Amino acid sequence: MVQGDLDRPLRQKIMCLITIDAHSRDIIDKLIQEKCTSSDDFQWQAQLKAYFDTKASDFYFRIADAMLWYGYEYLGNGPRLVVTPLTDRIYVTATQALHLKMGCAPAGPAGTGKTETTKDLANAVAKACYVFNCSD
Amino acid sequence: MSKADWLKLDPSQVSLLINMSNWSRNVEGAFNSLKSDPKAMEKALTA
Repeated sequence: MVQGDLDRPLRQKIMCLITIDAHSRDIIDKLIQEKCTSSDDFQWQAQLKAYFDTKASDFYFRIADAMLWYGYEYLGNGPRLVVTPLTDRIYVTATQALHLKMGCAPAGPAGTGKTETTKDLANAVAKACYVFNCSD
Repeated sequence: MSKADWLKLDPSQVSLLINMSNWSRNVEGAFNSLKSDPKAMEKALTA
């Protein structure tokens, strides 16, 4: 399909889907490798998962103890980051902090993806994300 | 309708959300049917 003649927006969308599906495939592979047999197992609970609530007619996300409603922020057709195991860990940490009404302050050397990862998490749940540089 | 068809129908944001929702549902479905079908998770891998 991707080797065919696609217009730019559709190609961008398919690139995002391939990026996300590659991660989804890796997660299922990990569930098999680690012999997870229940949806309560941590390996599955620690994943960002989308569900449709038929009563509320709305989408929501679950990750460990946190539950987030889909934010409906307009995101356009932009690229998505490749999700690594480290990304999964910061997703769990950040969302549990949000769930407990706390903040999250990723720390590390410049250019290692702290801001981009935070923006990608916001994109995943369609919430607005504003980046401020307080030293300007 | 195949995935190759439905993903063309909606805006990117909607397709990504539906795709993630389908994945979550497929994997949870696989967990639920693991007792009767030990290969359910492998099947979810190719779904």
